[in-house]
Amino acid sequence: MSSPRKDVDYTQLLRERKERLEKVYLNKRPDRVPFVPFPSVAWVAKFVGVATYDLCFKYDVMVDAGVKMVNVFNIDGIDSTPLFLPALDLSLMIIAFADYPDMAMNFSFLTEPMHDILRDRYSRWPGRELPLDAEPQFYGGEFMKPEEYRYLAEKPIEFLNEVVIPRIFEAIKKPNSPEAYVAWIKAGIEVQKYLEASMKIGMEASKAFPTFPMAFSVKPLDYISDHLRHPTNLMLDLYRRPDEVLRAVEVITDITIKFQHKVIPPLVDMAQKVFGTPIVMAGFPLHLNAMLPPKLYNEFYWPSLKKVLIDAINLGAIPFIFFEGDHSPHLETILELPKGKAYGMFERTDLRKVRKVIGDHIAIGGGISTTIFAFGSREKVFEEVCKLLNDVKEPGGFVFTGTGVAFPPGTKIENIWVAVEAVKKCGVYP
Amino acid sequence: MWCLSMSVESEKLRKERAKRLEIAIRGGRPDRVPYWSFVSYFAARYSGITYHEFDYDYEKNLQALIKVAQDFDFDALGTLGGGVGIIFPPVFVEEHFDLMPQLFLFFGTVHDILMDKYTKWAGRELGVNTPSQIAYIDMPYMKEDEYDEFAKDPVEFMSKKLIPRVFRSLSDPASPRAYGALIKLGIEIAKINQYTAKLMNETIKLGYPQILLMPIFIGAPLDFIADVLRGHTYTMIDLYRRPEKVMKAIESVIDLNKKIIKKGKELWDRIPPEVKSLFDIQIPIQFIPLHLNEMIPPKFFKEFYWEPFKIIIDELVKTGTIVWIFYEGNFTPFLEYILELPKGKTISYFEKSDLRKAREVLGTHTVIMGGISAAHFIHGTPEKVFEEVCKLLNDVKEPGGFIYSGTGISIPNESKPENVKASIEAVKKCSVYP
Repeated sequence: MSSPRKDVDYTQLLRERKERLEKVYLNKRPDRVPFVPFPSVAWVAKFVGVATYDLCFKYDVMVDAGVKMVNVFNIDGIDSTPLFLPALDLSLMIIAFADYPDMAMNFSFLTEPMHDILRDRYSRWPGRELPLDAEPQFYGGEFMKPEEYRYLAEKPIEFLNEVVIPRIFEAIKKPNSPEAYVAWIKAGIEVQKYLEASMKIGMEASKAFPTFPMAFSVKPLDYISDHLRHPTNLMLDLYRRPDEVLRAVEVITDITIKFQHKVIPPLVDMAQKVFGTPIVMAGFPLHLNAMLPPKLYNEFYWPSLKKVLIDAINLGAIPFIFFEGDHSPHLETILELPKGKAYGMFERTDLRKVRKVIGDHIAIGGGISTTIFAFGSREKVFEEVCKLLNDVKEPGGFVFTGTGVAFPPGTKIENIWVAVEAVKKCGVYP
Repeated sequence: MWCLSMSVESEKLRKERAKRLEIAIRGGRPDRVPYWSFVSYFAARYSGITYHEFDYDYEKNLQALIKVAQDFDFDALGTLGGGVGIIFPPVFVEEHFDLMPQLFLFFGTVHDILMDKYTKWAGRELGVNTPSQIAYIDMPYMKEDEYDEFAKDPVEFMSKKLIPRVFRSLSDPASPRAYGALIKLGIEIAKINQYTAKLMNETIKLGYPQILLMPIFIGAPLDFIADVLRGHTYTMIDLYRRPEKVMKAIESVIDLNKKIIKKGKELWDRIPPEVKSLFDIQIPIQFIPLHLNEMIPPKFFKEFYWEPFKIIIDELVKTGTIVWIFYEGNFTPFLEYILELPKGKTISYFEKSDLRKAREVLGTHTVIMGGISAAHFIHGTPEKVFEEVCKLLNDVKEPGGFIYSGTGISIPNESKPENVKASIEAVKKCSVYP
């Protein structure tokens, strides 16, 4: 295990990082562009020399890897913990457990041990459905029939708990069976072990990097698409039963807002009292956005999302919106959000175009092409990063994330270090 | 250097105590009688925390027990966490059996999550310094006409009917309240496991031997019916009104327990050597507290209580287990029955039975465990305690196979610390085997 170098003033680095990130998330102009790296789980596994399966399954491996990552990346030029989460989204539970917000928070992710216990039909994992070194994948599926939209709209909590959950989790097929009782209890044990491991990594990380509390929230139409109907079926629903979809979206939006009201204010309070920061993030990784043509996006996707985003903003959180794929057709809608109150990370949208269309309306983030970042020559990476920063860093509120997604397993470490150099050289604000 | 010599000392002490205890458990004659204590709220009072804190705050509980372990020189220290046990019905026999040892739960945090009707807790239904206790609210949980249903498939009955009736949080099993409660229970179990590991580490450092018990909980079949399903009063009535139904249910419980014992032994055998090696005493020991033994009318005792219980004992003994039986109340009139149990395979721990009489009747048939009257620890003087303990030990320690427990309920909550110390001195002085 590597340990921090002795000749560097880490308290000073930590202070600079915190100030830089706070400024940028508040859409201001820091001293230079911060570099916030997002490695994939498979990349971290390869980097620390373990199978992805072990990293997903063994908590001590997870902690060792996390500590190593924190220490290796604790250099000037990297501004945030290189966060890797061997967990997938289970925001299904945010709505299903809406009346129990602490449970909704603690159970809104799915790990590989939980997958083994609950036997969900959502996800595929290394060493189970996938090879030992594969990245965990969320597939979703069809767990609600088209004619059941009205149940979702009329009695969402009952419908999700009594009908949908037993369909998704093989182990909960019969909720009053020994198998189901045990599965929940065992899943709870794994939740706690996972949280303890995260906490250990977090403790190590907090010595070097600032901590901003974050809660994942719900994107109403994505919720139906990812967790209940599957995108392919949802697209058909938009044509065949648009009114029913909209009614269900409305109900989910209301529950999401209630959830946010219970969850965000305590986080804002904790951010101030425990971490001494005004920054609280609300996570919104979008999925359907790039699949929908503007007409459908504007009718079915954006209004509910906008409502939820503005609610989160009003509660004091900064929505961290991940725009999957190419969001170009919908960029203008971002201008409908309150100015300077959100952060958008773009996967494949041309950042120059983003800047052109939305200017400095919200803080934005992203990187260079994944292929170049992962496999290009050092010179090429340096050149591309500098070009990008020169084009988009002004007038501030820009986060460099390497590439637009979690970097893939083959990504060369020297390319990450050269990107660091490029950020330090070309990301400085005059 | 001081630290090093300290740990060598404590290891030597631990080995010495373990040896003493193990010889006594096997019915032999160690250097002197071992003092095996069980400490509950005594630790709370001694360290100045409330009973509620002891039941709800793992860290405070831990520190209180460590303080007792430090200040008192017992040979072994038994603890159970907080005040009273909540049994999650044993529905996990076929699958996920490994969960069973983790589902005998002794903390109020679990009561808050499950909202069970079995218990009431300090600082919840009771005052902050009232011992948590068995309550059996709204008993019976199985109706009188449901005996057949239970007998036919106990696991099915417990899953579908008993659990939703007893645990208010699980009253609607397909609800977010129930799902959430079960997940929270898991989260709490993980925390309790951490607490247990920490307690073990700390007591090892203080020279206390670690005893690996059988990873199951099990009881007399009729106690199961009374404690878990019907309550004591209704069970008594049932013995008169529908004895054949009760007997059928008893048979079902026996079958279930046989499975539990088999799986429990398999689980024991699968414990990895590196885990087993943390324990000084590795005899599978099964603790069974008897409840109805003293209350049951003599005409029913043999057929409904003792014979079914003997089947369980035989099953356990077959697997090489030593059965450690707590005879609640005064069992003196029934002592002869114990001679029917396999010789040398049980520890008989008596609450209020006459230990001298027990030695006279039982001889070396079973290891005898017990102490003086709890009143001496609570109201007596150190001199009186010393005298009583010495008298007892002189009368019953020979010819070996005796374990001293303080009083019949080990260390009563309200014991005066100086009396507990006096009992330790007495053991050291009066229990040495010549």
